[in-house]
Amino acid sequence: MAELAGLQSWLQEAILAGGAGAEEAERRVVSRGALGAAGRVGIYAGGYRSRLIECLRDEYPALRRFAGDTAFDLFTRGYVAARRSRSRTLWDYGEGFAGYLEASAPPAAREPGSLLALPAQLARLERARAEVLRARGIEREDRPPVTADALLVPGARLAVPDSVRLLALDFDLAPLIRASDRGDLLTAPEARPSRVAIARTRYRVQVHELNVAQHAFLAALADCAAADRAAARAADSLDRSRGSVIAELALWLPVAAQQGLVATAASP
Amino acid sequence: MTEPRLGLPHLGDGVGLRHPHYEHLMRSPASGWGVDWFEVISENHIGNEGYGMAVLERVRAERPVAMHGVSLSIGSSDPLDEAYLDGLAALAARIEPAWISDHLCWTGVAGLNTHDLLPLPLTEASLVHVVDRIRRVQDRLGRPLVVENPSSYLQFRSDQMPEWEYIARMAEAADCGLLLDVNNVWVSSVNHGFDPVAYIDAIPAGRIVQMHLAGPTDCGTHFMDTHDSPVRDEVWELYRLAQRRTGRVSTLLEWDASIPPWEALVGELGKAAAVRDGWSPAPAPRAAAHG
Repeated sequence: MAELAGLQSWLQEAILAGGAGAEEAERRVVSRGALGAAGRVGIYAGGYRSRLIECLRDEYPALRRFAGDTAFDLFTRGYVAARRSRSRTLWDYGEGFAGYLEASAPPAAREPGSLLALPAQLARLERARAEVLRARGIEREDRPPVTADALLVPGARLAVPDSVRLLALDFDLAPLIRASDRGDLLTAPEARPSRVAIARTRYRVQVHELNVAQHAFLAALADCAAADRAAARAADSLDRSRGSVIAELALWLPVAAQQGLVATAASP
Repeated sequence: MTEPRLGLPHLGDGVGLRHPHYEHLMRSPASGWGVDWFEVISENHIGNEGYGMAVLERVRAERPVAMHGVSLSIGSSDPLDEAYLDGLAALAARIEPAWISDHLCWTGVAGLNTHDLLPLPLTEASLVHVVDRIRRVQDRLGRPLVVENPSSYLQFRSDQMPEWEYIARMAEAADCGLLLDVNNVWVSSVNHGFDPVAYIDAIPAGRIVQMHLAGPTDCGTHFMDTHDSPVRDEVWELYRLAQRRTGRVSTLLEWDASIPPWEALVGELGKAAAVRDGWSPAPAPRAAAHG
């Protein structure tokens, strides 16, 4: 076992490092024909990098289109060098990409409205979309419909499905994502605070722009199933009157249900 | 139909379930699919509650399905990943696959994953290690594991036996099934300079429950197992030989990149029956040995 572990450890380190030196490879690997030992190790090293980069390209198509291949390749090469995979599935690999972009952005990215902050924000949005694609949705659940008066009935229980993600962003990214999906030319988004929900209905994922009350309500509802209490909490967090917030949300609730943002709470 | 092997049925000719065909399979009647069964990549469906699972459940309602994994890492010196085995068992309980398969390889050590099917040193010690782990996985899953020969691009100086001998001894000692990837045999034979017919002749036919077919890429100095093209003529000839030796077992066409439309995929699969019935692809010059 020690011999096996040592050999595996050596080959893995060579793959992660991008290859092995000719001499050390020759000691362990057979050379044959046109391919020497180091060249054979290099096949695996090259495959490792391209597999991870391909995974990021698949998961972040809008960022790739917006940034262009050269910049995107710089992002992904840096990420692959910084982050090794510890998951059994490639699906998990991209989960730290937005955080990496945020951490590696130049200090000027922290200035309000700086486009340097955009890659990380766009990556957060695209990761959320990917998560929603795989999350447990409510497509095949037989829940009672959300009624318009759910906010007015004390104790009525609503839930934010697992297939919803809420984000607060510094750019207006929803139009950019939609343009990317259509294959349209991408232009720089407006730098302004925006709140979005990514949700799924009939297995289709969409990005919905929310106002502050809607966003605060869904965030509160994720913690507390009682719809009236979640609405009250949202109003308090915005320092607004509960009555006006509840009235505003009541009008929006049927739309939110149609968009898959809320559902009646599952039976306990 | 042949006798069941290890209690596993003969499923006929199938294809891998892949994303580009989801809409077709959801919108068309199963009677027109033209395939007998499907193979799914286990990792694509463990923890996936989205459209992929809806498609899998629809397909499973109509056809047998086998689970094919890429992350069991049966040859790793790391401990078996219990959480991964839990995921496999949960998916198996949900879709009731005909069998569960993975590769004779390792994917990483020290808790890392290279997401590749890395070759094992073919030594007496690693054989004992692999056999022990297959037995433990079989006990955990409560069913025979079906183990596939990988394609490889390097061999270790410490190897003590050829791959076919290793696999034959492994299958007998672990009492597991074998998935004979005929394309992998051919790819490795070119990359390492061995006789693919001798390889197939040495594999215990009674343990082969499935065969894989796929198309590789010629990289000049070697062939890569890319699953992105039609099956090569040389592979069809090996397939005919292997099917004759086994008395016919389930066949699965893999196509994972540059995936063709459904009709073209099924057309390529259809060649398998023709080859079994004696059809020969046009003779092609044998690829220059890269090994």
